Amino acid sequence: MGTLAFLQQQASSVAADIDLLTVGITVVAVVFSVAIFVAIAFLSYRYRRGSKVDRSRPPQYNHLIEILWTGIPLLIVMGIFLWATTLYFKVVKVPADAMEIHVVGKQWMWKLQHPSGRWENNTLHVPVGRPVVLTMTSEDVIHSFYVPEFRLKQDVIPGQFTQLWFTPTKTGTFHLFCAEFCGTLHSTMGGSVIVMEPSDYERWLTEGNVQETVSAVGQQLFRRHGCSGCHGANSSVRAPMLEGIYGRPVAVQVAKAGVPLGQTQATTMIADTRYIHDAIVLPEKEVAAGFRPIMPTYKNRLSETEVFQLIAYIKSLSSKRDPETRRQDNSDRLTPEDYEARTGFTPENIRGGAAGRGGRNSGGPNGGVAAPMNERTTR
Amino acid sequence: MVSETHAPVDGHHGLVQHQFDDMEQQRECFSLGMWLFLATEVMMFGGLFFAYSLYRWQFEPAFQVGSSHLDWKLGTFNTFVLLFSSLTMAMAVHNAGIGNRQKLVNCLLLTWVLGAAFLGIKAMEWKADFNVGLIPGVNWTYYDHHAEELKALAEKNIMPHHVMMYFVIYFCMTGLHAIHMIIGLGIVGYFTWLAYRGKFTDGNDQPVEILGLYWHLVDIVWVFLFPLLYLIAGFHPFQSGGH
Amino acid sequence: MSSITADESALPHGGEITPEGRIPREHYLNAGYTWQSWLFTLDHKRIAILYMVSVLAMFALGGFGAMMVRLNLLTPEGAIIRPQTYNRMFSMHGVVMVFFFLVPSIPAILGNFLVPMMLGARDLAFPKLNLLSWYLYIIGAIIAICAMAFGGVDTGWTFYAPLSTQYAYDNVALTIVGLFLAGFSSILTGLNFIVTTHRMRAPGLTWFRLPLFIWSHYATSLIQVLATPVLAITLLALAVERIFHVGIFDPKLGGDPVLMQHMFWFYSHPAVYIMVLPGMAVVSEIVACFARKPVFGYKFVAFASLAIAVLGFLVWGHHMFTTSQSPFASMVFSFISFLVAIPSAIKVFNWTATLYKGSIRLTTPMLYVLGFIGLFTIGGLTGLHLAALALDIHVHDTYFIVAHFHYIMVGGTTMAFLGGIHFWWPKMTGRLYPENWGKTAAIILFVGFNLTFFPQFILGYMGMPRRYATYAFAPEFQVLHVLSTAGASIMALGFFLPLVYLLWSLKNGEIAGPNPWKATGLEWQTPSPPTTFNFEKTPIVTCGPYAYSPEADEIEHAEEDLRQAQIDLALTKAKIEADRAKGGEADRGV
Repeated sequence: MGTLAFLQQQASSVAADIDLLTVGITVVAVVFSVAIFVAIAFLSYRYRRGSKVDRSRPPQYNHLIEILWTGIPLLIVMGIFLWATTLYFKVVKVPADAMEIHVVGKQWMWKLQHPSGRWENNTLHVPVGRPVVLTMTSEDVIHSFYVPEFRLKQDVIPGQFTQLWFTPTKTGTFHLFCAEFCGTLHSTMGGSVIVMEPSDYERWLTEGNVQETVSAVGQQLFRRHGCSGCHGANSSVRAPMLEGIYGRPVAVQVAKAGVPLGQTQATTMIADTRYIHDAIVLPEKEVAAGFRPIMPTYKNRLSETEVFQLIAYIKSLSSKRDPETRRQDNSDRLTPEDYEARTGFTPENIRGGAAGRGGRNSGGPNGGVAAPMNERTTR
Repeated sequence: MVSETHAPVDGHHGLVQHQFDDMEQQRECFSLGMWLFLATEVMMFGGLFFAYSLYRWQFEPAFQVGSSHLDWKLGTFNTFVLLFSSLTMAMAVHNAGIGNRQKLVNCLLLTWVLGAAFLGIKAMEWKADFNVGLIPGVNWTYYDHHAEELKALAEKNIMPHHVMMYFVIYFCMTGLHAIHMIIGLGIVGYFTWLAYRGKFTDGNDQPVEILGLYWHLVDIVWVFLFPLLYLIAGFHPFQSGGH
Repeated sequence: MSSITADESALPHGGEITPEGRIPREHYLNAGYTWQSWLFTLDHKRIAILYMVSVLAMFALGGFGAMMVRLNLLTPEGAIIRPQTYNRMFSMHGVVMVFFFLVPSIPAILGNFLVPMMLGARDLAFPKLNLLSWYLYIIGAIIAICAMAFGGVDTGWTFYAPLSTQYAYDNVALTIVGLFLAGFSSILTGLNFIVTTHRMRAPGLTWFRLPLFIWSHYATSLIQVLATPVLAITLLALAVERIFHVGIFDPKLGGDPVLMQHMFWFYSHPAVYIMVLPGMAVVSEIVACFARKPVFGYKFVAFASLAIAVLGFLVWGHHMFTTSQSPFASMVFSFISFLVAIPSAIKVFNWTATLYKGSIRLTTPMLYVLGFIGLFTIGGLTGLHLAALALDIHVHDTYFIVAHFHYIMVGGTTMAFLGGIHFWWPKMTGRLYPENWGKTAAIILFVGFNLTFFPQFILGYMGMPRRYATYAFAPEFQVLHVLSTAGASIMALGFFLPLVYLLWSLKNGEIAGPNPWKATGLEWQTPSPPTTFNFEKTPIVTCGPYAYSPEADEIEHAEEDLRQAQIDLALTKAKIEADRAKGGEADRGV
């Protein structure tokens, strides 16, 4: 009962609930539609011109009936509202243990990155039965990540993070569509979501075209862009050490215009993804307490993807003390040239404007580079 | 209470237009129509005020910096110019009502002059902004040539592109207002000429009243724009007013 | 038992006399034949006709876009055009249909024609503004057509940023200018209606004696006046961003793309009520006339129109449930969206109840409005699906939405528009359309419409996204797409037929006379077509609208039967006489 699986498979933990809600609303809709159709047909026939029926004292109004047929539908729609809203909060509340996958949408493809390092384009491999949360942004226009079999979609907006979580409930290959019109190849910006048994997924993670973990790529960026010059152990510049910082409370001075930093009260923040992201692209905003605000911004030099990779690297420093030590553990890392040869991407490529986009207007003054995230976003 | 229909020959039947039964109906209709039109203007400017509110809430420090680049003294003076023009407009309405053609013409003329002065001062302000490269989309180069300022912004965590957002909003709002002023000046000028010809002192003074409503609305919009755009930095500006 | 004391002899004499009535010698259509008399007219009826011609031309253009869209979707890879062309086609279809057909159709044609007459006035309050309103429309339309001739836009009619401001190809600014002008056309029409309704009602015509047509158009006008300026400023901001490359909505410069959606939908949601309330206006008039009964629950219906207008301003966020809008804001929008269904439901129930104890004639206009009631009910009820947050996540931006709004806009508004054109055709032209053709076309349209759009609900639930030029990833959708396109061709026939027979009727239709439907309403107290100033003397109104009586209609029907029977009797007698006479001659061997 309550299944619309004959129309479309139910492949996520909320799909059946959403289908049930649909059936409920459809029942209400059908009941009222049929009632109106039948009433019109019946009345048009019975009271057709020339029929010999009682037409005396036709009512002009009847307040009781009108109040009833205002009040009863009102109660019904309120019931539907409560049902749908409770389900909605279940749909948007991300479970704490969800595995995070980063998604970047751009004209006209999806780039997905598993925490272990596996890249994929236009396809998403996930294990069945475990909650997954997609943390997403766009490099150009608004897109929308839509999986009909999951009954879920979420808009992907430039300059903001949005999140979509799901727990797949059956294995198989499902549709991935872009569901917000984004230009010429909007209708081909899609692919598949492939749900696998957990063991198959683990195996899949280790094969394929990426040898590096995301955090190892992040480490390369850390060195290449000079972060270790100040944040490394042997730096002569006094900068906060980053090992163990992710997820921990940090003392921060939030700069306010007109107030010298020395007179700004320190507050405590959690060094989460957003904090570290903005620390890279907008370092003057929240300065580690007691440090001078001299870190340059990387806003124009890193794409969103690269910032994700750096964050992954910094996350990984929670178990090691020294970034240099960690480097020695990754003997099989790729040089940037090898990386490009195998994946076809360099960080510059990823940052660049949309492929195939024509016209006079290019993608704004900064191309697809990272910009500070609005703090109020994410579901 | 059956009224006769007026079947005009050429539309100039007296002062009452053909679709109206009498002068009173005509007056009421024109008045109501103008108030409705003012409502549409409020909604239109309202959209910009909404965008302003959102971005000011998000980028308050940058908006303070942007605002401090405006010359608040000149802006204050300009506000009084416009307020005074509303006074002369109100006097014009009064003079039309009492049938004093000469004073009506004078008041309309004065209103026009003050309105033109307002626009002239605004043009001066915009020219000054242009000279230092503060017009987004046209010649936004200010922070390229003011390294000290850029450094000061960085120290206070303010992004130059948020300051640019302030100026985008500033030019959109004052630009839309200026367009309304120009249209208003055109009509005031035309009405001054008509008034000189005696068109509003021979029984139908309502057009002046209607024009007055429009003029007052444009004035009220400025009364809101001025503090929101010029006085954000209060009296402790980033710089001491002007560029 | 007329409620009007207007003099029957108020009709001008002379002109062609037929058993059905007369075409008066002088009326608004022949009050001048020069192009100046049309292009500089101040007569609201002529302006309505100007609108009718231009609006129908735009409808044809939008329909062409629809045809290209549906043809292309016959195959998963796209049957006839490339994606770039397809995107421009559906964008054109949306822009033209929304701004140049649905918004002006009923208010600017039927509203302009009828509002002054229903109020007993000689014209609207501001005839010159009315003419200006048409000029703004036609210039806006020409500019939009030029933009389309240059290739059109590929942004959808919703122009979301940053796609429209930075990534779309071209013609965005030009199209925006056309829409800006069309918006002001709409504002001026609304302003005119509000002032006329407030201040130019005939003596004795109190608010609660007004036809419901006026109440609905009044509510529509409130929305037009208050919401459209927000569209104007949104379009202006988009144009500024596009032309000057500044960033009001550009995230790289601190802008918020979702702000654009808020500003856009703040107008565009009330806009859909601009499109549907006039349809409801037409339905009220026609149901009352062809059930020979006043509309049931007049006051509830009148206030429901106002409630729809007010609540309609508070629900715009339901178009944005899948953006980064906060769940709590979404919850509020969802709640109010459920509320706004109720006044519409009240109207549907009241129209249906009007049929009870009526004396019902299923004429062409009646078929159209009964079709409206049924299809609007379906479309409106699927609005419940969309207001439900958890479900909207799935069906947003799919064909489910497309089906939902087409049920209301085509199954609702367009059918009401056609019903109104047929109902008031005799008044506007003095001629009747051929009734059998009318009924046939209405039924063809109804069938074609359902075949086109019902499969789209299913397509949408299955996951077919909207604005897709191809669906090669999901070829299983093809069957439903083919059904939908087949329905569209039937629908096209349903639209084409009235064009043909209505034009035919201008010269060859039966003469209508002042009131062929025996309808109440001041407009039917004038000749068909009316004179330029509508009434010889301003009428005085002494009772409410819809002074119909079903029992009186029963008697009238029986009297018609009686008359017909008497004619039959006389003819039969004459036939028998003639047969006998012939037989007699045969006997005599002649």
